[in-house]
Amino acid sequence: MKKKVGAALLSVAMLSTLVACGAKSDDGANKANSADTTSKGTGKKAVITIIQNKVEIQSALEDAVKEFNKTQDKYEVQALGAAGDNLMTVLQTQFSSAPEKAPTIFTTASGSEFQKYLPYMAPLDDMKAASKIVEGQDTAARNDGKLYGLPVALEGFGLIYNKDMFKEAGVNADDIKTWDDLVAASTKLEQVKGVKKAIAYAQESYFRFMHPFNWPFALMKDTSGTIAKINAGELKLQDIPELKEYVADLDKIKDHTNLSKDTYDEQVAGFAAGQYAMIHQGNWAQGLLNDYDVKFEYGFLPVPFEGNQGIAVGNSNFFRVNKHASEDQQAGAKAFLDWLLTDPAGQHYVTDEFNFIPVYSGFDTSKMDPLSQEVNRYASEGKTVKWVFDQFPAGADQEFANQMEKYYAGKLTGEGLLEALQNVWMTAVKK
Amino acid sequence: MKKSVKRNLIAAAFIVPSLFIFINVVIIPFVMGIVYSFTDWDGFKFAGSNFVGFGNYVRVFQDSDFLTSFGLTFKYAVCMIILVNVIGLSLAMLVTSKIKSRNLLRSIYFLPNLIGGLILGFIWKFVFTKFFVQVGEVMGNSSIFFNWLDDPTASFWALVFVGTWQMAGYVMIIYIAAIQGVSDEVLEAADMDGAGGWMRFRKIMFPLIMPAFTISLFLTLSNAFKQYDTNISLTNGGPYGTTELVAMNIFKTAFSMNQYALAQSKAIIFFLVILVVTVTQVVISKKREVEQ
Amino acid sequence: MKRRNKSTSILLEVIAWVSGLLMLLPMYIMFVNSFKGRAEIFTDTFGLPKSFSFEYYAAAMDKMNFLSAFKNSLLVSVISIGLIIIFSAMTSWMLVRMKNKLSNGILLLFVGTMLIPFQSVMIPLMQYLNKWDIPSLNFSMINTHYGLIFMYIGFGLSMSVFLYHGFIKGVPIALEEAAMIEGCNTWQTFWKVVFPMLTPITMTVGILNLLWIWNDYLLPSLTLTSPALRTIPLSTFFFFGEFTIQWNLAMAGLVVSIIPVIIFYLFAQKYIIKGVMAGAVK
Repeated sequence: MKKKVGAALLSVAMLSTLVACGAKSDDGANKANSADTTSKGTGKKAVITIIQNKVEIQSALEDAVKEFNKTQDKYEVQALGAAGDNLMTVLQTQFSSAPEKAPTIFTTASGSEFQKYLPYMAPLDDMKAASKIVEGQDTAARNDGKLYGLPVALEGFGLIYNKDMFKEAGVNADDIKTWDDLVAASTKLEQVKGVKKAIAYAQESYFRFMHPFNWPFALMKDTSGTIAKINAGELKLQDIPELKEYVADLDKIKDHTNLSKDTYDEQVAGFAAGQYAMIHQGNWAQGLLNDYDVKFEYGFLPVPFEGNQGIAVGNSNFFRVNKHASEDQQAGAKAFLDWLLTDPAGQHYVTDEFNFIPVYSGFDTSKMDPLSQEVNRYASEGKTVKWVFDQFPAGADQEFANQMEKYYAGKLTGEGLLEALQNVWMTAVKK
Repeated sequence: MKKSVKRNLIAAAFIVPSLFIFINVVIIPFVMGIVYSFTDWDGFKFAGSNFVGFGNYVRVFQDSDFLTSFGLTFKYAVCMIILVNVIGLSLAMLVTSKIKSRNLLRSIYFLPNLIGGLILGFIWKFVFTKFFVQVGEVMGNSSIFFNWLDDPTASFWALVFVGTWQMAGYVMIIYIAAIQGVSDEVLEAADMDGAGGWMRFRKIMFPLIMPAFTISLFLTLSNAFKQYDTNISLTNGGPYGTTELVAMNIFKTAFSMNQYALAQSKAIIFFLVILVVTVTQVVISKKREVEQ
Repeated sequence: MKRRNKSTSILLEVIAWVSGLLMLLPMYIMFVNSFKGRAEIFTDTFGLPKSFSFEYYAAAMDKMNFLSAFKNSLLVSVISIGLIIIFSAMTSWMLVRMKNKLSNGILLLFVGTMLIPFQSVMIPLMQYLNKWDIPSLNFSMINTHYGLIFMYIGFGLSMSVFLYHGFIKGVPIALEEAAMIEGCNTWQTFWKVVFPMLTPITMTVGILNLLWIWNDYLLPSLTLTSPALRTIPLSTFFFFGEFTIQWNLAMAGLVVSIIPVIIFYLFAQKYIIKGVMAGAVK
């Protein structure tokens, strides 16, 4: 009896190891060619794959790819797809098992994601697009002076407000210069029929905490220095004057907000339906606003903290090129990206189809949608504030957001909130 | 001699294909994971990682979030086991009884299962955050119809509710197969002996469907402990991190905090604990089973 | 039998129907919202749609490349489930008949691994199976349907062996012994005598596996990178952005995806009905 199964197990074990060892793949290039199962044989064209997670532009991207493929016959670009968080999981899995088969072009954020995948990124300084990046927007992608990413789009956030509703309530946006002005305006706005609350925040961690708290940090005199001190334990959040003031301001405006209870979807939908006068959001909401068929005029309003007159501008995503892909593939990847970002045929997709605000010179920005034009306007007038939240400790965004939720639910005072955030910060830094 | 060799080969032929696939898809990666848990693996290439002995395991026990979510998951599993099996069995009995609409109902009860855990969570989130609130407003001040997801305790029960709702149909199918397997003669004999409905169930039916009970119990247990999709979509651990189940904690440790080796250790510990619990459960139930 | 009085049966019917409606609530929401524009979904989530236009279905199916996705899902599901059934039935039966420590050990191996969460074997699995490439034969476990099927079988065996094992124990051995005496070998005995008796549990195993394989998103998302190979869940990703979901299209896509499963279930149900079962045994 025992012999039967013993023999079975042994043969299985032997068989498995045989297959596993005998079929070891050799290192090296051209792996991605075999990944393309739709074309017979390896073909003469190098296959370049691109993956990114803004599903809203996926079909437009596929169109762009098709057009690029028609313009030349050295490379064939294929658009892969991933939804939201899944992109990180897919990249992680592919780079950890077979980097040479991983997508040729992929996107990641800056900060910790940049550091994580840096070993897999190729330097891009020799690209045409690299020389055209708008000043200052490339620093987050540089390491040791070399450039490892091309910014995807310029983005800005602030308070998007309903211009028509403001008129109806008798509020003049230009008169809102201090936080108290904002509170006063909110009271007036809530008198308008159909308005639930003056301001709405969304509940996703970036919208609930990271963006709103960008303001006090960005408006400090020496943000990086301060953050370094916090990380070293020399300074506590609850002792920083700008933060204390910000939290006091939050206390003042709390009753005029939706306590960040809505999802991003609901927040924008509520704004479109006239239930909120202002939403704390960015120009990426343009697509959603279009979907909801908004009939009123809207624009950006600077958050009136510490005399701020600008909106927070930065970019969250960078195109990266896979350093483990073959030389041909890397060349093709660079060719495609250069086409997309510097050739008018490609640029058309960026501004008109993806609705991105270009981060490069040489673009025709006259046909952009309303929010993008607003961001451009503020940017050209120099009325901008940097994105600094990527200097917050990595992976702690949800924890921070949880504390905000407690604050909104009344379980923490303003002071308590800062202490709670301090705890989260220090725990995250230690890891 | 020849006969037993032949018998060996035949037995092997029946078992080897399954074992081969199984070992390569499940066992080997799992063992790899165990090895990784003893190193400082960064989630990418294994080469270059250093052994850290039990270092990760020690850290796991110091991780209060993990311990909390573990306890919570236990609570969740216990609630699920009871509710899912009671409801699943009741549905199965309803559907195999003489009720007029049983065929239609059998299909309806099955439907929830068709929707994956992720979507299900989103839909029920809609229901709890919007529908409940609206109904509560219409009915005046209501203690049942408020947004359950705002309150830690209610959130927990929302998770249980949605999980039960989805799994009950799954388990019902197993019970149906078992009930159908109870031969008519046994039932008729019981009826003739004057057994009433409840008696008949307890003394005759229940012992005969014990195998199904063991199976369902085990399935519910393992699915409850592994719950991830619905956790993410329904509550996302909220409000403020109070409904974070173990699978979510492990996933976060790996993919958000980039601590892959630590996550592996958590997964191994988790696996061992569940193994002990379920083995105990199975051994106890099997002792009560009736073999024909 | 006729003792059950009328009020009890009516009560049971009522309970049955209330439970049924509760079950249907999310389906109703899904169905109703697949006909609405985004703004309408927001303002009136639970009401009936203003019009029953199929434009979102058309849009969803177009974006999903539905026919291709459906074909892929069908292929992967049917083959995976078929092989799972064959392998697990064979294995369980042999394990039951062997009845020794080793067979119990193997059973425990299968069953115990049901507790392993997929996320913890995900990366090692990909790393390991990537090594199975044979470039000269164009053979790869990754980004191929057969590789995915291989993995589904591996993951599906645990539960299926477990289910079969539990039910095979209830099959009287007398029938097999009779068959053997009449000259059937093991293979014939299994397929001609034992397997037909397992029909209800086979259908159950089929349905349960179908449910998770049909709707599975994570595993295919990691191995199937070519757009042409996408299964249905992968195709619906178009509607699930990082922060926002296009509900109407997503719902339409979902409704369309589960219809085949419903049809299969209705078909499979027939085989679990007592009448057919009784006929087989007698």
